[in-house]
Amino acid sequence: MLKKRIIPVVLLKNGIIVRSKSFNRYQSTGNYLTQIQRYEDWGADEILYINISSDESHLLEDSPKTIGSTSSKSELGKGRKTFAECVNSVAEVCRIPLTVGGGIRSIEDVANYLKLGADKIMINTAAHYNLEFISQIAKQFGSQCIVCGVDVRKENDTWNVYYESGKVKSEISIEEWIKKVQDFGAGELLLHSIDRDGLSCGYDLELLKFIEPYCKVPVIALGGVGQFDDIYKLHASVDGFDYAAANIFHFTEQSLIKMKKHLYEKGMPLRMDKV
Amino acid sequence: MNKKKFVIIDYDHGNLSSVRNALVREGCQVKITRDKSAIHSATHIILPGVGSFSSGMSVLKEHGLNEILSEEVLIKQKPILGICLGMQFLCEASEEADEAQIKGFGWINGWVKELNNTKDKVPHTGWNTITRVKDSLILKDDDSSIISNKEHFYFVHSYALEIDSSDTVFNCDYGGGFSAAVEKDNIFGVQFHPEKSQNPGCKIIKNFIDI
Repeated sequence: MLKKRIIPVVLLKNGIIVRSKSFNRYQSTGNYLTQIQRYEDWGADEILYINISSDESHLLEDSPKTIGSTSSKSELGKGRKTFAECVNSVAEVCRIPLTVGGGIRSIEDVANYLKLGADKIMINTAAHYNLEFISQIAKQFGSQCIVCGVDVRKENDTWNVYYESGKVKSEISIEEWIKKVQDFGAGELLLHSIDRDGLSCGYDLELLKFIEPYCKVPVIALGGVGQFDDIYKLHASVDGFDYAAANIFHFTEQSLIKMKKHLYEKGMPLRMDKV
Repeated sequence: MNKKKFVIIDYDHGNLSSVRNALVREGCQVKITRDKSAIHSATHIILPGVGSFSSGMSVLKEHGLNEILSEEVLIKQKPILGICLGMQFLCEASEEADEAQIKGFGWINGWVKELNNTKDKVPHTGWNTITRVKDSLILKDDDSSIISNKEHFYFVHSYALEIDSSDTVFNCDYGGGFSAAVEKDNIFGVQFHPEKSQNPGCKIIKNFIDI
């Protein structure tokens, strides 16, 4: 039986893992490599590794003093490693699927990350400028390697689709957009409620119930998980999703092991192999 | 360091680095190549692959790799492991081919078909269990017991070899059912990604290395 996936999202800002709140506050939480190994050991089913550096100087500073501290933009970014180098190091040790995203705009970017060891590529903004970018990737590398990120913000009882890191609102409706990206060849969707980013108020169940009938490909839900049971609530309310979260996995020792055990005991179909 | 020489066939279709990293972790010498002499001097061949059947097969042919592989696999009897689309190439043909004349190698019996059970999402993406049909040389545990139906493997695909081909060693119950692993003499194929399936996947890679 196909199991539900639990997927930690790792945000890298200038080479440092950060937690994010409402897309604008960032706090550094760990080393770009050891955190991934920990997640894998704890039974993560996949890793989403996302570059949110806003410039090209995404360098690494992994000194312990930055961990746990809230930093302003300018304090991050001094150091040695580029995002590509981080991906390469992570891929060398990662024995579960690794999806890489953030700032991917060209076929060369895609080819480069796959060569560095990514298994899948997450794109979002680039699809808004050119839907055929999805079909180009599908043609060359296969639909299975494209995860299309869809950022959604609830405003006045409407779900609006956003791109450019939540800064630009699309005119297209959520259901139209989801149909389009699948028609052009996206093999998977990452549906991110950005108004819930970092707020620990649970997934947007209304949204997910609404869009589920439009999804033929697997969909990963993201945004709002603050307790283990937020995942169970979605599972119990509508089937057809896999589950991603970010902040809940930070700062808690063995968070993922505890989460999977809790959800498994409640009856969710999860992979519980010794890893 | 293992004395055996592994080549991963490079035809611009796949997450070749993931496969290479998995072999390197086991201490193997690995080359990603399409060079004839490198393939000649290898002891083991891995044919990975993601993407579409037609475009992958066209590129293999364009580089003359189908002839090179036939010689190495059928005449010299070198072990070959096809992964995902690489496994599908070992079969007779695929429904995914745009043109009927684009066939598979035909070393493994059966056709590659679209996963078409409408209740299941496609691509089949994630961790699934598999069911044994017969004994396998590479899908077995360290103590030669068989891989149990409790272990999970990572799949991501929309097409697969039909269920219960005469060379099938494991089936998977998804999208109407399909062959998860095949074996015939020195020819091995897995629809899932052993390089991305943690410990159960590593076991399979180790078993292939030991052949």
